[in-house]
Amino acid sequence: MSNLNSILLGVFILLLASCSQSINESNCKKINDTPKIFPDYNGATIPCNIAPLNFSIAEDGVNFQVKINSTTQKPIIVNSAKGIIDIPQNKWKKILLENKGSDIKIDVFIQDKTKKWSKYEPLVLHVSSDEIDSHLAYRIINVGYVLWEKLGLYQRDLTTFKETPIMLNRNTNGNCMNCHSFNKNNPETMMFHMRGEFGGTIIVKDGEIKKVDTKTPHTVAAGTYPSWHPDGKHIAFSVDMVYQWFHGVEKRNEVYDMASDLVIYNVETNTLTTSPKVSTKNRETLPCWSPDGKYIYYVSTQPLSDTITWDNVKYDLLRISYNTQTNQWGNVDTVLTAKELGGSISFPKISPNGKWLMFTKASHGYFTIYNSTSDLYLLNLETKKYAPFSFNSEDVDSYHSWSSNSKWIVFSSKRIDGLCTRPFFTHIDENGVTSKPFVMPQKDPLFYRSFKDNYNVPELITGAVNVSKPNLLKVARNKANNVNFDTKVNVDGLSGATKDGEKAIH
Amino acid sequence: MKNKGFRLLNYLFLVVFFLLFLFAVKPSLIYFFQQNGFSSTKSFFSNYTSFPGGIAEYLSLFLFQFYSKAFLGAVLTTLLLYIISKISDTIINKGDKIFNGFLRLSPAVFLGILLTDYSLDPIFPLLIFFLFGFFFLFKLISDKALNIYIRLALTSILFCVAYYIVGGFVFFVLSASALLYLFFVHRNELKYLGSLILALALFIPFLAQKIFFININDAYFRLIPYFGSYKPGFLLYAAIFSLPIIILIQNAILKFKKKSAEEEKGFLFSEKFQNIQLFIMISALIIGMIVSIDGDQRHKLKVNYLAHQQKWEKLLKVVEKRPSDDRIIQFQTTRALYHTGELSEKMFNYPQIWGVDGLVLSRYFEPDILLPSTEFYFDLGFINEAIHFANEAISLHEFSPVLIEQLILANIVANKYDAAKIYINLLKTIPFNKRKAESYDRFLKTGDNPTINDIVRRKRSIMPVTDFRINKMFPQDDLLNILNDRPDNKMAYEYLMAFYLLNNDLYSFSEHYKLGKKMNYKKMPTLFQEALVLLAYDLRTKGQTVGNQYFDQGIVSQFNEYLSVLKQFNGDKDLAKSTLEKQFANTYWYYILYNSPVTNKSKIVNE
Repeated sequence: MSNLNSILLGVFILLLASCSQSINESNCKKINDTPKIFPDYNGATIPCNIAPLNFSIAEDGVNFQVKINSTTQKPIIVNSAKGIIDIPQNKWKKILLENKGSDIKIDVFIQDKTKKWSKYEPLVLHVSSDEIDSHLAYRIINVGYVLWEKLGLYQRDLTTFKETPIMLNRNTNGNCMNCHSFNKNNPETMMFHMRGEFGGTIIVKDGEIKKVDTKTPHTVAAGTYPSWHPDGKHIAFSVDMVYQWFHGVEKRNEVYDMASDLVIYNVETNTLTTSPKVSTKNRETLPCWSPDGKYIYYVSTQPLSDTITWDNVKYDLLRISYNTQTNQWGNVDTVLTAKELGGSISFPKISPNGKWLMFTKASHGYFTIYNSTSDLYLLNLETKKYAPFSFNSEDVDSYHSWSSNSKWIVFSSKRIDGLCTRPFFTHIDENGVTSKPFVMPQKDPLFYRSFKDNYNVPELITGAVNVSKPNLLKVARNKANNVNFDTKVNVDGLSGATKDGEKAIH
Repeated sequence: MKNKGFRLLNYLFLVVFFLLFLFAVKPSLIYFFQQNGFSSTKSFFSNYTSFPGGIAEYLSLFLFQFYSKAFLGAVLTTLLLYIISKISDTIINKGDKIFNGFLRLSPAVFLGILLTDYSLDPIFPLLIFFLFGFFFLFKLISDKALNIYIRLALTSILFCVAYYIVGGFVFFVLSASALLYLFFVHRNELKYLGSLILALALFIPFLAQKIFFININDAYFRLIPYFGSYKPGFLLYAAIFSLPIIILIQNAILKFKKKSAEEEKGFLFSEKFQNIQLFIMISALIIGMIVSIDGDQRHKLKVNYLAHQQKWEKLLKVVEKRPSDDRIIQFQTTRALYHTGELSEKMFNYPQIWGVDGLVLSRYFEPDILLPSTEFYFDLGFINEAIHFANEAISLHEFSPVLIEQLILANIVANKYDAAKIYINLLKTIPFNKRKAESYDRFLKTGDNPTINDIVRRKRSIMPVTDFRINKMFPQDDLLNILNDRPDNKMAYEYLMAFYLLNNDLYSFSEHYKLGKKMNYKKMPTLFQEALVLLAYDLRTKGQTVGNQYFDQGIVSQFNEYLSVLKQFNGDKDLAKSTLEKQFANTYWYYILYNSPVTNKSKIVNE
């Protein structure tokens, strides 16, 4: 054997030894505190099917060892010279499955320059037996307000680190696309809007793809914020005339609606309908179907007016019943007023079990992603009691969606750096008790420290979107079909007037 | 064997290109103009591996970073040209063919001229390099006496790799060139190898649109990078198609024309004729490059670059030498005047035909204004707008180190250290910027960098702190809001005054110029006096006065002279123009009478 081979073998054996050998704990200095780690996963409740929570140890040291303890198997030992803890996926998976419903403790050892090891108080993760939906869909978008370039809708397999595109705007001349939405977390039934040159709404249902233009002569804009009816045949949209302006100091910008109404699109008949009750001079937006399909929850505020300053625009939470069989609208109910809450309500999202409604509360308006006062609130639809989410941050906590089993919530938060939105997950139990949220894990734990784009509109889905890419691109580049406006509707959304010349009910 | 003269001329060609590219085109200007960034992160790399042609794009962006060091950029580009001409030399068989001199340098000449275009995407030189390189490899495979199956296998691998690296269009040209080559040189191979290439040319892109997320058109014919704005013209296509054309000329025309022993001794086959060809190509390169450089664009880029480097005096010298009516040049000139303390003295020594839209760019939004605007707002201490514009700009130039640094500084000033940290980490991943990023990092940790500290301290002292709503069509309101908070923000004051002057709004000027008392002017600036003298004259005709105001006697007598010239022409401003221009071209009076877009009611910006 040559010298080189001997050296290589020696190095290999040393590496092997260093990978598996645990430290003699009795020689370690005890530190009565948990180590600082990034992302901060300590104390979080995690799903039993989540990808490894790789993390970086933000303490000084020349060598690091992490021991992930389990009651049922040998601990996972990870060594690192830089404090980057990359947990082997298979071992992690196994340890989670075997520790469903209990805690796993992570011992962290740090060696200082004098070669002495210290042992910190263990990090604790609670492994929930509730699985999270396997995929998360989101849009990746830059931090600009007017301009964009690369933009895409992506899906991330939450059980691994695999991210794949659902749609990329490089194929459609760099247009904007937004508001992806799924029916009951089902990746087979989805929609998203495309703007600009290839404008239209793409609807994917049972393998069929179509593109429609939801702007009609009787509505103020094309469909904007969507919500699928559980029957998968109807989509409620708000139609919004969206504008923005910028702050001179501290805050960034304000996005607001000049006008907005609600409409319902029938996917099968290609018809758009509305009612004078939801196409009023007030601004109605952000519809959300109840899981039983009987009601649309939405938010509404007064019409735009010079007498109401921008920071006094507050949205109330309302609901209206709608019968998809008979195309009949019921009466508007007030669920929660901004006055009672002491803040503006936006993004009502009901859990699939129909028990909870999560919404965002902010100082004003509905476009909360630029408003650091925005916090999440949970409303019990049975008791009508509401409370703030226990883990709101100082920064933006906003857009959220539910998992199909009503046990997990994903929400957008800027809590890490105040600049970019990142998806955080939190567990919710039968009593509405939420757990400490954790950010979507990445293979490189320092990923969020240099990733300058936003994760926008996170939506949990039960599997991967498997639509045929060539077909999707073909439809996306085709002209959109116009939708038909329901001839029975006696309101013109543009003027607020009834079609027969009488005043609409306001 | 090639003669010494031939070799020398070849080297001369490269030297000529190198010098012209370095000193006439200036790679640093290309770099500054395009702002194409590169990051060593895995996610940046993954993005470019997700489509055919992405690897070439990735590499081109990496190599483009060398343009930030002008000399290195020029060396690298010259090297690329050298390799391309070397490969074309090999393709034409090193023989003493009639047109070797022309043929071997034609791609390099086209490319050399093309490189004078500041908007040329950096991928194109590399695509041409890959085209020639892959063809060279194919030639090796097809020329070698290998087993046919091995050749078929190697060709398949080569074409798959080539497609993945260069993408649809160049792959198409490569396939066509390979077929041409087989047709002329290995016609007996057409049946197997030719059929294979044809099949690969059709099948690989078809397969690619199934595997990668790309549309069918892009799979077969994409040449321009995604999100690229470059419009290819004759030169680019000439450079790309020079490969099949070389093959065609070399093998078709010459093959049919068998040379006789007599001809071989003739002039057409002589070394002298080869040298003449090279000489012609060198001349073509020089003339082509010099003629095709867009002087106006280079001037504008130079001004922008000097402004970015804050070389204000040099900038003023450059614009004095070459006055321009360009909006951004006017904007940068005004900035330079402010920073050299001459805005209120010499603003009208320079063209101001854009009026207020040359003073503040953001009333009308176009991609060109983003970087200058973010730098301007940073100067002004208007940090929120600096961040706003930098965020817009970085949407178009994702990894531009210039913009990233701007965002670092602006966020530090705004006390948003966590946000600054993201950009610092990003800057660390961009070649040639790690050290700079680390100095910002140290500053965040220890605050002990005097240069950064000084910038931060100065900006914070003039930064507005009371919120207001920005109205982009009325920047004077923003300037007033800044001054309300920071009465000692001299730049806001001078820009506000300049805005009123350029907007012919003397009443607002007279209402607000007193805000400048805190600025410690030794005497009232000349242009302010000119404006107030004019206003006093105007008010007097209406029986009103401007109030107690002391004017320099010189300015008053100048104004009287100005009036007397006008009177001399019976108030006919057209007749008086040439006489007034000689004496008063640099005064506010002349501007407001002749050049102001408000006076002329000219629509100056199209959104």
